[in-house]
Amino acid sequence: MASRSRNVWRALMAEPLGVMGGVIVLSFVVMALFAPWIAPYDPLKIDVMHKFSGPSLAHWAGTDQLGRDLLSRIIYGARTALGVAMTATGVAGLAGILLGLIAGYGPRWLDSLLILCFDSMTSLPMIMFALAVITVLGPSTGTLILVIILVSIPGYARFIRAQTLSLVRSDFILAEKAMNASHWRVILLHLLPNVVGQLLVVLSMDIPVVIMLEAGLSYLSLGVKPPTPSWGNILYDGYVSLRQSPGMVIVAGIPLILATLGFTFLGEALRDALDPRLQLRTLT
Amino acid sequence: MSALYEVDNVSLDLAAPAAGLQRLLPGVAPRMTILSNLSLSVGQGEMLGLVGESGSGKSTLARAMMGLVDITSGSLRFEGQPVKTRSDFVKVRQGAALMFQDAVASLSPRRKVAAQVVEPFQINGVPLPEGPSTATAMLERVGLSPALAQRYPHELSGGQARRVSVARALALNPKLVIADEPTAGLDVSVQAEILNLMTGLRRDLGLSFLIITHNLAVVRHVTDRVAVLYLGRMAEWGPTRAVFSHPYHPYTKSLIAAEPQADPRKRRANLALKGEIPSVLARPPGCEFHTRCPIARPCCAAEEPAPRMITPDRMVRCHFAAETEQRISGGRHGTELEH
Amino acid sequence: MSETLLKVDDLSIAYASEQGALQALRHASLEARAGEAIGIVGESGCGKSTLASAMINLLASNARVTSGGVIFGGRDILSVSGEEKRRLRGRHIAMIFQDPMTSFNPVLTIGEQLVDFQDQREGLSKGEKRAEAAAMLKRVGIPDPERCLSRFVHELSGGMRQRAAIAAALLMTPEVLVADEPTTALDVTMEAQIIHLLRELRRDYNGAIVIVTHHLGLVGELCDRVYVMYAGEVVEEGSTEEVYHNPRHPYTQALIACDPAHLHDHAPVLPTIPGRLPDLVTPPMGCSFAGRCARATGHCRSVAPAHVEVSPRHFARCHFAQRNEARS
Repeated sequence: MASRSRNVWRALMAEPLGVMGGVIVLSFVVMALFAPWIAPYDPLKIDVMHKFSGPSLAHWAGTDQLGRDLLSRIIYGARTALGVAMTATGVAGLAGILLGLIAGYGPRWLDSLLILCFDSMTSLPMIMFALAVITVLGPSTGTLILVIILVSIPGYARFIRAQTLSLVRSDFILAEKAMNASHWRVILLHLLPNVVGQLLVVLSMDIPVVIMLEAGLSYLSLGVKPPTPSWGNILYDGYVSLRQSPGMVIVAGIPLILATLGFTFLGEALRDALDPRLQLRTLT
Repeated sequence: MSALYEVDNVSLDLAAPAAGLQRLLPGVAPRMTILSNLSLSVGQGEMLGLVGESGSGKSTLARAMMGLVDITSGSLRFEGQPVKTRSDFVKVRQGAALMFQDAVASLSPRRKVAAQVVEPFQINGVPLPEGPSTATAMLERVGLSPALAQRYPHELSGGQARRVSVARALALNPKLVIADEPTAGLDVSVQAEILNLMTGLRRDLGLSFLIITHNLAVVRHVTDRVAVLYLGRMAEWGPTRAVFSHPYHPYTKSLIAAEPQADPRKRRANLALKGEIPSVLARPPGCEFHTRCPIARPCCAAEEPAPRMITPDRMVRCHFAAETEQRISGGRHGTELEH
Repeated sequence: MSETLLKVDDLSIAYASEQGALQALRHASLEARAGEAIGIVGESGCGKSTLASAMINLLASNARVTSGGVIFGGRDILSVSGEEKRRLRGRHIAMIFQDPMTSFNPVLTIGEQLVDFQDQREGLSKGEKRAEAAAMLKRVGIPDPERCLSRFVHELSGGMRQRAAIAAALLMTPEVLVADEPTTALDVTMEAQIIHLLRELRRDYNGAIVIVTHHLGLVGELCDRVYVMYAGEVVEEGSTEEVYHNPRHPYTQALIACDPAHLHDHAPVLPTIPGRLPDLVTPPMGCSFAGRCARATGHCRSVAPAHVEVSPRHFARCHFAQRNEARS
């Protein structure tokens, strides 16, 4: 695998937008991991005396309506955003792989049954579904993650199923069967490696969508509960106090935009780099 | 020569792509016959050629022999044992190997050559005969550099990929190798190399080969016997030399006549066979070849010809085989196709 | 001798690659004359596809012309640009590909496309263009042209697709028709039918046909002249009759010997060409076939042979061309 990962790396590095995306994503990850060391203040520390202070040397991004340091809240918000997005897409991706492989490789009736489930799931209006679940379970970060997982599984599973179906009829799978390969071997050694790469790309491009969703639901007070710092919460606070401090909305918007761009660039570059045939073309 | 793999009276039907409401009515859905009452046997240490145009069912037969598609009726026997159940096919797949037409596509795209050639051992729980260097030894046996072991399938040339699939086919010391178009898409000199490799293996290891191809030149040089398939039915079979020098079936004759000549002095004035192989969905009644046959008469459309044994080792299915036989034994070689 | 329509003159083409400039074509020259069919044969990597793409000016973006050119109508077509280039291609020089699927758009009917291909013809109504298309389909042996016009390319069989592609290429009555492996994807019977068709077309069409293939049989059946290529060079050229029966270059001799179709008896061991193509990033300074040639001497390895005329219009790029005896 070494030479191959090196090739992928090289192809990735050859793409300037990919490099940029990588750098952005990496800085957010560093921000999230080392938030306590990077953030200049405690994000929850209230200092009403200095509320709505604009950017200053003491508070680079200013403070909010309770005088909390915005930069620190953004840095801790990255933790929430990436934590929610990565957990949710990760779990949904794994479930999608499992269900998609079963649907694509398994017997026809099971495929039909699973497709029926996926379709009924996708036919529910997402916001209504989210509202229903949140009403039952109460708004919290956990509920938010659960909702995101539930709504994203059908898409991933369908994606994996479609890829599996096209691979199942290919010669190399038939060749495996002609050598007596068991179903497990076919699935784990030959189907999985060929579908997982493409899904990784989809997942990395979905992370910004989930970050947006988390921000959106938190903005609607249905997601991460205040005072936990989340970009959505900051955006909401900024919206409420738009008159007093118009800068807050912008400050909360920038990381959202950056994260979206970063993950999208990285995902696109990853898609090109992971395709061995595409790689060959760039080399010859 | 005793039979290694016998295919006896095998038929294979598939559900035809049904239109609209037809699909909902069970029993009404049309079936298409891919193989029909096909009999064939590969002898021990024999090289048998199976020829026919695309759509004649050659590849389907190969897959049915390996249990990759189910036959509708008839029977299969491998080494004298009937092959019916899943566990029978497990045994067949240990004693016989299938090489696919598209060698690159038959290798798993994200695994290295080294991992792929030793797969038959791992799958069938056989210890690697030469330990960790087995892959290298296997590649060397088919004339490949061990350095190729570290490559991915898409990094191989057509000839190299073909050799890798030969190496993998030989892993478990099979008795039979079924090779589907082993030379398709290769340069002439590489074609010759692959054929030499196969004939060498047969000589050294006593392997049997079933070579499926539409390239008559390949069949002519390396096979002992040849079987001609048309629209899922056997048209003719017999010793290669005899079939090529005196084809009885007009289809065999046309195939031989259609072969391009690499010699401008032997240019044919007219190229025999008109039209295309019919679809299995619209199988002609009677003799299925009558729609393109240069010697067809009204009875051909009405009646199916019965298999006829010209000699104990030659079969032909044509109403006029007897006439052709007379002509051949009378010393006049069938020339009606050339005019 | 008829008029020369297309002339490749001392053409060299290199591709940019990671290892350096890959010299895919080196000083190749050929002529396609009116009413003549020429064949370009060779194995993978010999440069025949590069030569074919140069003839229709469809070179890959990393290709660079390092010497010579392709002369058509008194001009080097490799130096024209844009609209002019498009006009030449199709109108004057047309191409048939190995996979006819690539010549047609999958979402338009054959008829719509055949009408579109005539967009450079003036003074014809749409109906007339359609009638022209139907006539051309009939001409290439499609039994029910009207029905074929309303079909999509995936609904046709392989043989019919290739016929339709030939019809599309001929619609604009091009002076030069380049066919790249036109029968490789077909069965032996369909191949024979296409050969037959091309042969018939040749008879009444006064353009030049260029067949690019690795298949000696196809050239033998169809072509008047043949150019044998090896490692980017034309190593032998002459009338098909001369080259097939009196080959003077050891590569041509070996190629003919190892073609299974050439042998008529059961041959358990077929001749091969041992060795490998030389690296074209740093082509050998001597003869490019020296590494695989049984007759090669030190001289062969150090001095590149000239294109020797062994008999009128029969050339071979070999130091021993005069002495290499005819074998058959």
